[in-house]
Amino acid sequence: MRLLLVEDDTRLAEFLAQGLAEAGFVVDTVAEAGDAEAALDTVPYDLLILDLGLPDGDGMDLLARLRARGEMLPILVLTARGALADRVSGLNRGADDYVLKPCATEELVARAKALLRRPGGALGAVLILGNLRFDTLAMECAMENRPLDLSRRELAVLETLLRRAGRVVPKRVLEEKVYGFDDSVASNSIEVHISRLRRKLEAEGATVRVHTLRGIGYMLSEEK
Amino acid sequence: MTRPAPSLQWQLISRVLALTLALTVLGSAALVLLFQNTVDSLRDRSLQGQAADIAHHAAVAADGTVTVRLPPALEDSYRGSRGEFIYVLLDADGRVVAASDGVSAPLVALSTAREARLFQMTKQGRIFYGASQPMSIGGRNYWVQVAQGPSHHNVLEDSLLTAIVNQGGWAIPLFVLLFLGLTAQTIRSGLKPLVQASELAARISPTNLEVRLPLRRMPKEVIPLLQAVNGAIDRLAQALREQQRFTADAAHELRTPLAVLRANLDRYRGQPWVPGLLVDVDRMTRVVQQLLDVARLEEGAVGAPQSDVDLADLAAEAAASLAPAAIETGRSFDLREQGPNRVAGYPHDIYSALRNLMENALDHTPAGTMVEVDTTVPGIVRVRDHGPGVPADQRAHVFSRFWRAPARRTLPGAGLGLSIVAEVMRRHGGRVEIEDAPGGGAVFALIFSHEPGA
Repeated sequence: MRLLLVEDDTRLAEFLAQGLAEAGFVVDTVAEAGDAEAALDTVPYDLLILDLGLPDGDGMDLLARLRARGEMLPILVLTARGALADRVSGLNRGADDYVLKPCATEELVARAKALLRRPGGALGAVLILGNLRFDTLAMECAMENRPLDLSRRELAVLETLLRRAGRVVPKRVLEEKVYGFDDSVASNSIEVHISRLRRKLEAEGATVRVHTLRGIGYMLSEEK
Repeated sequence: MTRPAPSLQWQLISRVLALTLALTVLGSAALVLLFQNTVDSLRDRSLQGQAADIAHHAAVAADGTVTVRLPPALEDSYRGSRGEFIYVLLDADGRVVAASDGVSAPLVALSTAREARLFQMTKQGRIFYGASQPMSIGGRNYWVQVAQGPSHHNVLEDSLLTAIVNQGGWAIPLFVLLFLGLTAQTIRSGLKPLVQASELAARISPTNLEVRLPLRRMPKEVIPLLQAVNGAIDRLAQALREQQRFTADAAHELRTPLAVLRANLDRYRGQPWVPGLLVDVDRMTRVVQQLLDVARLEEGAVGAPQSDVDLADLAAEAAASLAPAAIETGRSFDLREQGPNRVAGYPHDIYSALRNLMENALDHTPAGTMVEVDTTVPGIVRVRDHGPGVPADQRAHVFSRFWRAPARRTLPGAGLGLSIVAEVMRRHGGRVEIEDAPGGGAVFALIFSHEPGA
């Protein structure tokens, strides 16, 4: 998995690249929007991590340009600006996710992995959290090599939570991921799946836990 | 008391009106004088003609007797002792040789020189104007004296007056009215672009600083003022843009070193000294965020307020962003909502208020408890914690900038959070209230003044 990190602060770029490399990514780092475009033209990257404040132009403009020319690769925006404004406009302009500086390297790695959905990609195919291992191609989940017996929808819930581990996933998003357009959704059915999933994880001694935040969403995190 | 501003329009109209009236009076006086002169000279000429008529119709016999044989039309005029016209014909010595009815003496004494003269006389209580003129009849010298009574004089005046009025005198007041109307109209239409420019200028605010006052169709005299106003707006807009850029730059410049520090610390994960430093980085990050919130609020509102900001949605968003850190420390969130709860306002600012209020609640609620958020009441968000509550004597202070409860100085934060909350509510025409929660803890209620469409 090869990713391009566009960050003009050399020390930050160095530390983030190091963290991403330790997580198994091959990282190229550039400091300017122009270099980023040149690099994207020559190398088929799997992911772009883009800082919005760049010396030779706004990263948001680069984002818009890339999407305008049909660039499909997932883009993770890294920004030091405001909370809501950049997030909304960034997502509207084609960013797939958004991380506010400063952030834990661990979180950046987790979000980068979550964005890699390409079938066949080694990192994208297997999601690992705590003692839980989830193969998204085979749709199988195992704990310390013991397979977990989960229903199709429980697997879908778990995959969605795993891809956003450590973050709150709104109930609405889970419903979209778990049910197709044709399925009718009972208002409490996500709760039912969550509660069964939680029971099974606890019974098998998982080191991850599903948190319920009523009215807000669900979060999967590693027990410390 | 201040005097009301003088109206240019009324100053102009009143002065033009005064000038017009003065000119009308002067003009009328001149006209009256002219009229008087005309009447006088007409009368003089008519008297001369009258005398010539008499002389023309007088005949001198061989014996020297004079007879005046007037044609019937003329004769009627001179008939009767109370007639309007009288004449007397005198010989060179002043003796009466012929006269109209009731006249037996010269109308006026003869002058020594043989020259014509005009006179005024009273006959039977009436004023007569007359002329005494030397004339030659049949080769001999005579005097012809004629006079006209007052009614003829008045008829002359009347007919002249009538002629003047008929031939355009009526146009004078009309002209004055038209002139005034035109003046008023010119002033009004000349000032109209200014009124429109004022209305435009009244709409200028930090949210639409791209408005400039138009110079087209403006009176030349006010263009320098308008250009100066536009220049001032240019400079304000520039200053505001720079301020906004500064905030954005400051955010970047402050957050980036923190991001470097954080990423550097992450390389040493597992070392015993790292977790403490990470807490410090988080705390610093929060203060930077709050300073940026304050800076943005001080810039003033940017963009138009939205009419349909959903409090439930923003509360869920703010809680979701704080929940991971809360869960790590054994705390959690609970949101009671009943669908959208819409108010008018600035979503970013309301989000800042909610996030700061929830961070404050997380600071005070003990591990193992939840911060409870309630958006079920229209236009209100309640945030409840399970901490010690806010003592009554501190409630007036908690919204002050940098104020921190004396007993809680060990808590994270710089005492900015609640001041941001209060400022956001003030800008939205709402307020924050502190309530006691049943069973302990504090409830902060954000009360928005109105609901959209309500």
